Amino acid sequence: MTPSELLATSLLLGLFVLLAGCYGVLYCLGRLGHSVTMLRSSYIAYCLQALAAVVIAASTPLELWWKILVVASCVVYLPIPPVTWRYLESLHEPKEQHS
Amino acid sequence: MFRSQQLALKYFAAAVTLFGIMVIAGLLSATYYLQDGFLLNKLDFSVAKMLHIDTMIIWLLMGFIGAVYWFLPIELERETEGIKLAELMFWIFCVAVAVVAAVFIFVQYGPATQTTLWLINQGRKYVEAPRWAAIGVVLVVLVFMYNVVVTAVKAKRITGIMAVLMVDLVPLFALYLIAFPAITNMSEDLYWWWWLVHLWVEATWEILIGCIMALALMQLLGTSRRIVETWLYIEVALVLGTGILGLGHHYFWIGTPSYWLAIGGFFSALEPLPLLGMVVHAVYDAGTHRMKTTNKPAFYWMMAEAFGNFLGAGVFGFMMTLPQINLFTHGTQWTVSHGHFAFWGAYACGVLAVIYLALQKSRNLLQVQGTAWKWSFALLNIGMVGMVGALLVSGIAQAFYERAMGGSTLQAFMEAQRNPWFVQGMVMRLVFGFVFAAGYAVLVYDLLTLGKRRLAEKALGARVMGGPA
Amino acid sequence: MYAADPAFWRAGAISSTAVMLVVLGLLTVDSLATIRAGGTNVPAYTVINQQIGYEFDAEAHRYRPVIGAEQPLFGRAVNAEEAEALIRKGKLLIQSRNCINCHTFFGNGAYYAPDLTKAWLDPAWQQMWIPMTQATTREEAIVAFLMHPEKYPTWSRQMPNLNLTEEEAKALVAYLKWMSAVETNGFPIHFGHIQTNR
Repeated sequence: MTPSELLATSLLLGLFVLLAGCYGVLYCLGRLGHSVTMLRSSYIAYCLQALAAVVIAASTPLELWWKILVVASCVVYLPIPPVTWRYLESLHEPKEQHS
Repeated sequence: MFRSQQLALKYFAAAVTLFGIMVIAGLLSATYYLQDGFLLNKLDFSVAKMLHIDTMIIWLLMGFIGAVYWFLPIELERETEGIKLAELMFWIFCVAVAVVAAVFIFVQYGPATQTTLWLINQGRKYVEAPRWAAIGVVLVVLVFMYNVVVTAVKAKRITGIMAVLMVDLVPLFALYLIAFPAITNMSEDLYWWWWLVHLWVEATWEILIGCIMALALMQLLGTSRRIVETWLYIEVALVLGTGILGLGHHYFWIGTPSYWLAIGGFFSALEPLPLLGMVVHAVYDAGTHRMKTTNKPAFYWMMAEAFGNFLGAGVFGFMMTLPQINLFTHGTQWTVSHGHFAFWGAYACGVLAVIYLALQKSRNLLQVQGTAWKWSFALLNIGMVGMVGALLVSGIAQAFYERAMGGSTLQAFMEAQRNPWFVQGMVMRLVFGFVFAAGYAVLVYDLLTLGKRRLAEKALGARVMGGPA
Repeated sequence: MYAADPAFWRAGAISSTAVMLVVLGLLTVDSLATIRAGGTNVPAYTVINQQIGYEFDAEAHRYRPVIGAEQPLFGRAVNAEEAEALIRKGKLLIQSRNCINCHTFFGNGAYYAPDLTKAWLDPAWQQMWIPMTQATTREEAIVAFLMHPEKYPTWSRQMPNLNLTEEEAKALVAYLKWMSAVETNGFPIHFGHIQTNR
């Protein structure tokens, strides 16, 4: 790994998780404010995260298994905000409403 | 107020005091990088830095212990058992810390014998305290555990949160025993040392702060027990599920088998996932309550906890955790950047939230108000983000020039330390360190005067108007 | 829905923790065997009687320590017992002088002073300290430096004088030499070799 590759790869990895955070926060703001714009922005953030994963896989000198892990974790990140949100909503519903 | 809660307030006061000493030691430590020969042979970098990291560990531990003493009587609806003993142990703890710090500063080191380890310095990071003091810590924790367990048993009320807390305290205590041995083989020494450090800050401490946050959320937002307990179990499952084998990310380069590169890297890479869940939870809580609460600083510090944890531990951790990257970043200022941010987000913010909660109750405030808390919140967080960013720049320069290009020799080390990017990063770190210190000063002012300012203002207003208060 | 039931998650927490702990336990048993002195990755203490190098292994795809011919420290080979006593003293010294709060060992510690993993192999001893101290061997130069770092500075950030006795300094040299022979999965990368940014 050359010094420049080191720099690019590490920053891409950080950006990857940062974009996951952006996706999560924007999604939540979208659900809170019932805002289609916010939700769309969240999906754009996720697409950028996926793009980061693709760039990591395609052009960094990481070994294959790590690239697979990054791409697989990108897939796993997708349902986390909506599933967590739905779960929190159901958890906060009054108990009688559970069948 | 229960005696246990009065003791909690004492622990919080001690914690905040140590936080201040940590800040001073931190500013000192930063200065050595910018001024050659600074206090050479009088108070070397190793002493300042040791004070900085040890006060960090102890202020956080005192914050945790205080938080538990605060919530325990509320949770169990009775006074804490063995409270007199606990009060005594508090003072013993404080005196021991003071003596250890004094020995660190004025004696500093001794000959290469066991006596030095017993009386002066054990020389293993975070657990440098001499063995006599380590025995003291063991006693304090044992009494603490006795207080918690016996009170729960006598109350015949072992809630889910209490159960998790009690079970968590056992490994938390047992791991501390690793502070005692002096192992000749550095690989073996570090193998066990990392059990203590990682399984504290990336496992048992996470569970402990999780329990504390659960108790705090019930107080702050009136969240139901069912919800916080469910969330706590999910947290335990995910944090320990990823964190126990995430220990392996410290086993890349210390002589351990190479399968740790795969195992440690894999589980470490999973660690940010639950943190994203925590961020979602935090935004959910903030949004559904519209940030309306009777204790805004507590709420804001809890939000900072979720975000700081995600950014500091999650983003910064992921940047450097994959072995191929870590080979270059390991043991550089990059690590320092990640470490500061992670500790701040994961623990410091949470402890500050609990302190504000406790003060609201102890000073009978219907509403916690004012501008001081906003200033301290802003200055502390801006200071921290600034320091972390500056250290990242220095760390990247170091990984690039010393490791990737330079071949990690003394010459490479020296050249990287003199690199303009590195130096600038160190300058900005100190600048933001002062911003952080200013935030700390305002925090102390706010904590000391919370609730008392309005009474003073009312009295002043009445005198001006010529009538009674 | 069972996922809303705390008991479901409690079971999950207990089982995932238990599984991970068992795996950690098993890996620990194996790792301890690997890292004991004389194990697969960590040489016996008597390695201090031999020459130590660090070369790129094309098959393993990483840098690895290379143990070579006889090269005793201070002109005298030591037996296993003497080697262990020396290394034990060296480690006590490292702890008693709080070295890990300025330096790193296998990259662990503090970052104000250089990493010491391969310090024994550092070209600076030959290039700078042997001429400065007028020592005839690397180990003598290191001892001279450790006992009086103020006399032999190499840059403006100085090592403090920690009042080392000669016996302590020699023990530390032995420790550094032994440590440089530990298999660290290639850390630090290409020690002593400069790489251009291509």
